[in-house]
Amino acid sequence: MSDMTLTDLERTAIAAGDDATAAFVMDEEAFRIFYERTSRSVWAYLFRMTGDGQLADDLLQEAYYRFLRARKEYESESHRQNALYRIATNVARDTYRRGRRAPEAVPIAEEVDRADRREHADVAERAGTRTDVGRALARLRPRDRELLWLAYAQEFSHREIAEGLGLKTSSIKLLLWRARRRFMELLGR
Amino acid sequence: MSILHHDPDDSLVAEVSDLLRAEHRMLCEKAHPPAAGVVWWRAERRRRDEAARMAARPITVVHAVASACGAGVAAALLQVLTPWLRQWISAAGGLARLLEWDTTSFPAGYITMLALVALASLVAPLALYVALSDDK
Repeated sequence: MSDMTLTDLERTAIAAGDDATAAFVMDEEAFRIFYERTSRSVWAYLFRMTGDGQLADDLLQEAYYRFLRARKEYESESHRQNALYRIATNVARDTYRRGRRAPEAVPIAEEVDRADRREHADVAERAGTRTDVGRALARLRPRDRELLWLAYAQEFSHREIAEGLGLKTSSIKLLLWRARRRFMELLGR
Repeated sequence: MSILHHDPDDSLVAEVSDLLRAEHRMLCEKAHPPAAGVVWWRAERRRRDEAARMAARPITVVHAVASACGAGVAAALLQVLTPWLRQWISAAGGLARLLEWDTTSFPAGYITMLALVALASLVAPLALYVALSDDK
């Protein structure tokens, strides 16, 4: 259960000096379209970064709120999505800094697949693999987790990853290589 | 002519990529994020709340300054009224002992300062509370 309330996050945003009186960057209809296209993927990212579904819900709300308040013009849809992931990454990092525990397990994969396992043995095997993936990701350092997820789950380019994580584009290749190694070691392969 | 070269890291990349893409797909299928309307409504409400809070901040500062001024005026009044109060209490009964110290034997500034410090120590926590309570 999440022990970080939205109020904590609100205070952080206020402390950061945001201008609360300004209008949002898009209207409700444009937001709905954008949200429906991106929210599941952002939620999956936040869930994998925090390991807590309830917290991922809270952080999702916070990420979209900060996005709406950013008041920036984006060249394209892809720039807009990158900006959203950058904000989501910062929101998740704020959570680590507050001393939240690292993600431990993958309850969703286990719960979702419990019923399936009874019916299909091959599904059980796949579920086991997913559980392992979740555990290995949870044991990685936050930056490695972010790198791997953005590179392979989201299929972002090195430049996009660098922008999202505040790193140099030239360093992404090496960092990804190390993260991959660690990830596979944790998977025991 | 191209030379076929197999990098062992390529198969690792492919394996990691497959695993994480499958994980992503599964999580996206099972994710139940709040409805767009709910997220929008909460964001709007929060924006209005923050705007109201920021608008109220100058008033809070004025309250704090007014409280400090009030404390100063009260201290000055106390200084002016001390001899009169002493006489009044003496006339009222045997309470004169409570004010037996003679203010004329002290420098006037010293007594004023003492009175101000005493009052400030009483009023300052209240003023601080008033100033900060709206920020919660």
